[in-house]
Amino acid sequence: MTGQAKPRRWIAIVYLGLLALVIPWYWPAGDTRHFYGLPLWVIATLAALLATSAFTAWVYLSLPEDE
Amino acid sequence: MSDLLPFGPGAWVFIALYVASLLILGWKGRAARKEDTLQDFYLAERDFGYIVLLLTLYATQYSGNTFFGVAGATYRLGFAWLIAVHYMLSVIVFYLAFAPKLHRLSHDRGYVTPVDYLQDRFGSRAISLIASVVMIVALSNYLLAQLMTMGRALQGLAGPYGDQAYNYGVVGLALIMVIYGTLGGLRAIAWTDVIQGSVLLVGFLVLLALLADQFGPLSAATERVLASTDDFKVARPAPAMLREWFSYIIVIGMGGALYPHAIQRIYAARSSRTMHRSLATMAFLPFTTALVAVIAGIYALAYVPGLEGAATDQVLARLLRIIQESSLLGYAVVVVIFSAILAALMSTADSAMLSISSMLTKDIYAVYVKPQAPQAELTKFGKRCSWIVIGALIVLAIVLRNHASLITLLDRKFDVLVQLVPAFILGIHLPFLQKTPVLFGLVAGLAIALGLAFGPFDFVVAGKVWGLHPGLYGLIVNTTIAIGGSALKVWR
Repeated sequence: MTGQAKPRRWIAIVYLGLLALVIPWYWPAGDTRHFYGLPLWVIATLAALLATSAFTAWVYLSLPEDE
Repeated sequence: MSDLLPFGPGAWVFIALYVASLLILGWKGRAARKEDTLQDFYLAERDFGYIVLLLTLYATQYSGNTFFGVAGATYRLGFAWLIAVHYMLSVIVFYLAFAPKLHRLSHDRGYVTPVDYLQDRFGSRAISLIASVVMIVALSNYLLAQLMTMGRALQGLAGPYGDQAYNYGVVGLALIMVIYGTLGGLRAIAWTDVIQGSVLLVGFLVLLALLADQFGPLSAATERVLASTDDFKVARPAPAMLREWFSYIIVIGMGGALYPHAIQRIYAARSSRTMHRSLATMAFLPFTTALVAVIAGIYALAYVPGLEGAATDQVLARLLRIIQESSLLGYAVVVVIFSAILAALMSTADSAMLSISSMLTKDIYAVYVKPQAPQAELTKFGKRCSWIVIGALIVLAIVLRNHASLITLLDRKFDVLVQLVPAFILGIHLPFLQKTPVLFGLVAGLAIALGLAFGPFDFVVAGKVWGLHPGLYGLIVNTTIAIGGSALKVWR
């Protein structure tokens, strides 16, 4: 990708979607089931966080370079 | 200190070698100086490559709070403090909003401090002065927290000699830090960050292995918590905590991205490619650090129950002491982790110290006291500032020892820093933003944030209003005034 950076609004939309997945509002309250010590809601949150990290890395690496 | 702590001579030799290496790098940094200018001293001639930039960003972002504060908050709140992993990542996400453009501008326009950008963008002394004060106060708060954690790191391991160990820890480590920081400036600090960042990375991973080896699998720890009265700390957070989660992501994510010392590292990146690669890597590091601290907090909840208040910030030290006393290997590995904790504390504190010094020198002294001062004189003044700031904060750290939990310190700092978002992040993207509305917005935002945080209001519970930080309410008003006022002026 070269040239001047253009606003990419869809990136903000993806981040909002990921934010909605990371914060576990959708998980049943009082659920204490766990897998290898990690509650299931924690696993869901960590998966969404990992997706956020991967997406962020991709966005940075696809930014135009000045030099 | 060696007669106070249960560390033997071998451990102290190891730690002494580590500390000595920092001082040597301070000398090396001084020797590598190309010219006696602010740009050389505070930005290392803007020549950081990928590895140095990555490790200095990493060592600076992950502080004593990551080890002690996050483990302590997890102890109090349970798995809900996964929030810490999220807010560490959100800082990197919010950099996307302004770092690429700011990096380009800083190289073109020769910025040294964050306020240089604001002065260039708005040409308002009032905005620049308020921003300087906000950043200096916020960073001093942060530096104070690091110094207090240095003391607590030793206090937790020293048993009945804790009080003396706290004082020696604060004074000794702060002096070492100010020596190498004033010798070589950012160049020396970044080089020490390479060592400190590496030790930190290894230390966190070793800690994870050590916890499992000493206490058994995480599943056993979680079962133990479930069997106690703390069982609610395993379940999904309550709705109030979910609102708080959202608030932390916005306030710490944006506020953390505006840390002056982090912005100066963006200025110091050799190229945009270097900066993009470093930040892309940083996006994965919350999993190797903050997440490990959360897991340590769960182990502490299971195996060191019953602590309350400020004592919860020492749960990690309590765990380490148990491991240390269990075997020779445990003892040796705790020495490595202890070094990593020192690395986290010192690397964050030295960066904050240098950044405060740069702002006092460039944004205050060179503007209001001696505008014609030559660069060499300014550099000299900056070094003196470092000594004075550290001296004052050492006294405060000792006086305030038992008065504030780390997380309380953390909250207030971001409430004020986040008020700079319209000027920085919106200012860089919205050409129509004008100085008067931005100034009024900033003042209103600060007044609301501080008023709610420190005022006698019944509706403020645990420093938050309906689970949201006071800074977030201030930011909403601040942004509305900045954008609305600017749009109105343009429309007229």
